[in-house]
Amino acid sequence: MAEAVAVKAKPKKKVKSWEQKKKTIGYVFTTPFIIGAFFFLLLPVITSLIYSFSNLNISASGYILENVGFEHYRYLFTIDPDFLGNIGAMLLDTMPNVIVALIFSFFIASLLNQKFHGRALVRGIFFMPVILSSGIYTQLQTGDTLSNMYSSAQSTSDAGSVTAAFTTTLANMGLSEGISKFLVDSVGRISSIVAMSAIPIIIFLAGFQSISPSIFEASYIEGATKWEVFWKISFPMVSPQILVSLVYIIIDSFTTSTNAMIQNIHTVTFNNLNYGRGAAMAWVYMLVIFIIIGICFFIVNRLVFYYD
Amino acid sequence: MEISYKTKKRIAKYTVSTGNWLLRTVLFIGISFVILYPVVSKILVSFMTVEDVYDASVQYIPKNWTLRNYQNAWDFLEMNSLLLNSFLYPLITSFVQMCSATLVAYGFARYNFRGKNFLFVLVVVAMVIPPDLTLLPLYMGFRYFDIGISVGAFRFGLLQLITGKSLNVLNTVVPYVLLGITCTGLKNGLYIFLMRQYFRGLPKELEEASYVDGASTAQAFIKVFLPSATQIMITVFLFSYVWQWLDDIYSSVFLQQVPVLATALTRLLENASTVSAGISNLTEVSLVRNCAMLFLIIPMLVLYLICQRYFTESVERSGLVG
Repeated sequence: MAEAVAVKAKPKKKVKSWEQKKKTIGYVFTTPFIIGAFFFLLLPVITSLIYSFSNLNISASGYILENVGFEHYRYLFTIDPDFLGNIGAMLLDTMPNVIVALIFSFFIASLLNQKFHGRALVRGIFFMPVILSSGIYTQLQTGDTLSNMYSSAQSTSDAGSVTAAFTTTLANMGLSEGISKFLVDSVGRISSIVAMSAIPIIIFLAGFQSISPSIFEASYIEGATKWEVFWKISFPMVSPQILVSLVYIIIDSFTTSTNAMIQNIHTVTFNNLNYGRGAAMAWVYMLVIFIIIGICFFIVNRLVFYYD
Repeated sequence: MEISYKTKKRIAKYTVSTGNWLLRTVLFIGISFVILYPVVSKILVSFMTVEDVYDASVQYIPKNWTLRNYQNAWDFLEMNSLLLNSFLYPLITSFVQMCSATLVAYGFARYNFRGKNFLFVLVVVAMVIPPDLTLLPLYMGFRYFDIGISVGAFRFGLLQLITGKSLNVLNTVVPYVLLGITCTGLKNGLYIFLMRQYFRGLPKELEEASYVDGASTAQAFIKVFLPSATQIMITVFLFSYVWQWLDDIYSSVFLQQVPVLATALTRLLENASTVSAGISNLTEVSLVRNCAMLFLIIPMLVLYLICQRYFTESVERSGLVG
């Protein structure tokens, strides 16, 4: 009623169509993020780029920027003996884990998707690493003698012989030494891989659940076996999630506070108070992450099947 | 005796399903062990005395049960002074984050407007950039807080103009609330992402029916969409609370003077600080560290167990399709 009266009172005013109205309302709902993206994302990113080209001195009244050009970048690439090596070592360290975690989470999710007794309990346990893999917790864990003693209790006692037997078996199967070493190492890092897989498992589970049951029914009626259904229907249908999970695992493992590079940047910036160099390091590191995500996206995206 | 085709097929089916069951059970028990073992052993060790740790006959179950380690860890971390902050800061932050993420995600999911895709790319960018990239500018921004714009050396602010001074809002809840309201806080992009997927999955008829019945946009949102989104909201709240509680990157920068548990724990990384607190025996330090880690994770594990049901169900139903 109120609207009708308003329209009658001002007949000259152009009445907005429903679609136009919807557009405005869309902006209203997303206003918080629009403001945030400008003030707390765009401006800080630009500012940090400016910092990376300057020396920052804090004084009582504020801070003074002193332009030094490419000095910090020149230092990182030509003088600093560790920086590039650290990035390389971190990549070699993390990438195998990323790939293993991706495959692992995919298969665990496909198993968790089946119906069985105690499914809720198993799921509950599998999502726990979200809590247990936090930065400070892992840092304390790795630095501590006692927890090292207990976490390696099972591996020191008789793991040596098991590992040897496993390697021999793999060698007998005709696998090259490199591959069998990779597999053995992956088993050794199982706890960190499990920790990385919690969120990807959720992503894959959601993917499996969102497949329409009618597709399965149709294929069973056509006489497909479970194996065929898994590889020819479930797998292509969750392939978009493979991409999402891959990107998530890369982001997560490259930006957690336990990552060697992040710690390095944090120390330089906030402990050594070398703000300019810290900003330059963060920029180089971010570009490296972007390139890696770009490459992975490019490779995987071509294999992904989009249903709609 | 000849085995009929039907029997053969039945045997094959039985073998496959048993094999599947066996593989699944072995795998699940094994991985549950990998996840639970460190926690359980940590809890058991926390009741041990120093002698028990050295005693070769004590493997998991302590001989002399003691609560002294808890006492030591409590005193060392000065838990009395930081307990309230540690609970309160994440509570406020995650509540704010949940509310604004719901609003923004609803806008992204149910409305089309110009620049939406670009804005969503920004959400993804916010998820991808390492926190240390924006942390320093943010630190400076909150250290010399002002209502206005600050890019590099250029600064324009209303407070500076009026009072000639900028505010220092570090060590308060202000940075967290501001970042939370504007959806740019810790892992906030992920929450928008999750919520958007959920709202996108709801049928269009729901909205149309409410408009036909005469509801306004706000009414449709509050009375139709919000009640159906409680589960995913609880999930986001849980995620947010857990990650805020465990976070040591933001809190080590924004809360340098305010003691919270996550940053207090970093003191345990150096042995010198424990020596000055009167704990010099390396094993004893380890025991204290062990208990401190339990202080950090046990509240979260309890919270997780309470909310687990909502969490697994809603994340599944959000149908995170790319």
